[in-house]
Amino acid sequence: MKAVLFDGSKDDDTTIGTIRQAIVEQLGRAGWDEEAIDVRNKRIAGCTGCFGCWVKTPGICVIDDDGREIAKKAAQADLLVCLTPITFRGYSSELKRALDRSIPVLLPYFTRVNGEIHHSMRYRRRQRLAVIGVQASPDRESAQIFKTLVDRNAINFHSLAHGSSIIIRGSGPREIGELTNSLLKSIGVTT
Amino acid sequence: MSQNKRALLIVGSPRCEKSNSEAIGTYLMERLGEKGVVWDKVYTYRLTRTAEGREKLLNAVYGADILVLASPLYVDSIPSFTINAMELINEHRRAIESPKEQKLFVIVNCGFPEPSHNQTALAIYRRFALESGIEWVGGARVGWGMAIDGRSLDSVGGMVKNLMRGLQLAAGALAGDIPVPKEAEELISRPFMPLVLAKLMTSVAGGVGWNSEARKNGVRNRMHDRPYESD
Repeated sequence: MKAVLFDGSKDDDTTIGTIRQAIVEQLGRAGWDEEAIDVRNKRIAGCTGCFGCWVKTPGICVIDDDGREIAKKAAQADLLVCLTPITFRGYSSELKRALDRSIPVLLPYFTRVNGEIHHSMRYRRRQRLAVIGVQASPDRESAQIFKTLVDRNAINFHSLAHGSSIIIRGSGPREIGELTNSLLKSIGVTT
Repeated sequence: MSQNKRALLIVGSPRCEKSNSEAIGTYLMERLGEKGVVWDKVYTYRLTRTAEGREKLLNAVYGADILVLASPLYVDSIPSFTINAMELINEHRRAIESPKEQKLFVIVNCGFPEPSHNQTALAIYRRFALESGIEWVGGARVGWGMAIDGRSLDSVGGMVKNLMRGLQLAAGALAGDIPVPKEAEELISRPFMPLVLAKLMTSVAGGVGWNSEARKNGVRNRMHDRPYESD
């Protein structure tokens, strides 16, 4: 089983570093092959909304940079883990750059999910999705919006199972380990 | 009073002049212009790519009294470079001891028939305003952008009459320095046709346009390719 982790931190973020380490260890113990990608160190242009990945080179972005690798990793993974500093209740621009370039995994065609229109998946493989956001202090409203965003992503990417968690900046390794373990358990990644 | 006001349209789409964000935002700005507001526009996709562009963006934003942000929905949220522009604007304002008073009105549009897809993005924009000390004066959601297809709203016709009426109302409020009425948000966000019909048309005929584009590019038979399929 393959896991890919997109690290959407803006710079050396010690809390996200600790989260990442905890997840890598927990996945390793559960027998997963994992690969972590520092999005900020990759050459990934912003998606231009040209839809070339649907109607010119189906399944492959027309921009030849590391963004192609992002879509490939996402398509081949069984688990996608995203880490981000919570930015205005959503994702950092770094993480979003990677997610925007993942749309080649979708088809342009439409399907209905719970009565709502969404794009169909290109691949048969369905991923589990775990998203962890880091913020300075607890904020119930932000947490709700962040969770809704992850829920919406899970619908659009037709995830097998998904979950999200918010970790307060500066939390200790033990607390972080418990939260990541609980999140991975909740989506059936670890037991 | 509005003669001295300056407004800036921030287009958050990489399709820039060809985008629905441009079409919707420009219609609103032209109405502001008719009320004596001086306006300009910038494109986040172009300006966030270079240091010079980022400086130009921040200067343009800080020079305005009214900010109108029009953007598409990308993966349930805001395009990455527009989030980057928001990060920069937030950082810039927080670095100033007493930043000037500014107002923000936002319109998010998507290709899905249901305007509700845009709700999370709107909540993120609202939080951006709060964290940046910018007054949030309202936001609206537009669905089924394919009906506009980058054309000026005047040329689209009756289908967007509620959208245009809502934008006119919003412009009046922004220029007059009064809260944007809920009626304006509601009119802008109203579906172009009954949702049941729009959803049916999207489900049944939505693929026709994509197939036609693919045919022009000689890849009609490869639309379902899975180049990254693995065991």
